Amino acid sequence: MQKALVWLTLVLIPPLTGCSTPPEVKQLSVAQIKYFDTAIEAVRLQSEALIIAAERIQEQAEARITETEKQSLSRFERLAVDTIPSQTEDERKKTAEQMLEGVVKTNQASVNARQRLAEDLAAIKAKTQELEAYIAQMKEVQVALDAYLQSEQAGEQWLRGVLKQPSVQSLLATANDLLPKVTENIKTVKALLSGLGTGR
Amino acid sequence: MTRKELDNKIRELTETADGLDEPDKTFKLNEVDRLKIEIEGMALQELRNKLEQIQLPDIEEMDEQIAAAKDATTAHKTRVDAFNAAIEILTAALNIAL
Repeated sequence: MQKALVWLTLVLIPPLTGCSTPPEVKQLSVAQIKYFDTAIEAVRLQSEALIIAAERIQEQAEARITETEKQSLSRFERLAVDTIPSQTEDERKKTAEQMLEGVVKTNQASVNARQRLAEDLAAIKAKTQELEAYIAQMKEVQVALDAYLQSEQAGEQWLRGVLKQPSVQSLLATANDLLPKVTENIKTVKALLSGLGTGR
Repeated sequence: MTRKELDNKIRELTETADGLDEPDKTFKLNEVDRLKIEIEGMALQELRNKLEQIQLPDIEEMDEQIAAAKDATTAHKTRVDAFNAAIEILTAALNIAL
């Protein structure tokens, strides 16, 4: 029994030490979460700037639409004052009908253009929100990865403790002499390792 | 019509309007105004198209992968805890044995 315990310890320690994540990697994982916080804030501000710019473009476009509408109406007014009085009655009727049609069509063009601007702005806002959600989700991925990396500490804690024990240090010092003998009881060791591997 | 097609149409109509008498000139210029308004309506189109080129992974799929990783981490932690419990007994036995 005593030999089996010694061999088991000698067999377990090297692979566990070898497989554990280096502290630098764990630190980087924690830092990466902070980097994502910075990226989230940067994307948020960039999105805000983009939306401000888009809203400004929308306002300016709407102002130009209003201006064009006014110009169009003003032309019709001039037509009514300067040209229509000199026309025959038939011509007047025709011109009046065309004017009415022109006003209605211009108004409709204006409504459509404003609606299109509003739809485009809504799509831009939706896409920027999608981008923000995506980067936040990337952080969640990193948090999940980090949880796994940090969960290894429990095992390492024990390893650090056990490696400092004088008895273990002396065991390690004589490992080269003892290891060949492990093969003698390999079946016992394998059974124990397999039980630990499933861990339930 | 695309923006370029609208610009060409505006230039063409304006040139035509300049050579007309009233009331046709006013009506032709009114057509130009409507096209100008249509162009203004496209002010955000390019920005929108650019953003919509960005194809992002499905957030739900990412959620599922995160959940799977969390489950696996919990299972791993359980194994580590079991290992530590077993090793405590082993360490105690080792100290007695040596």
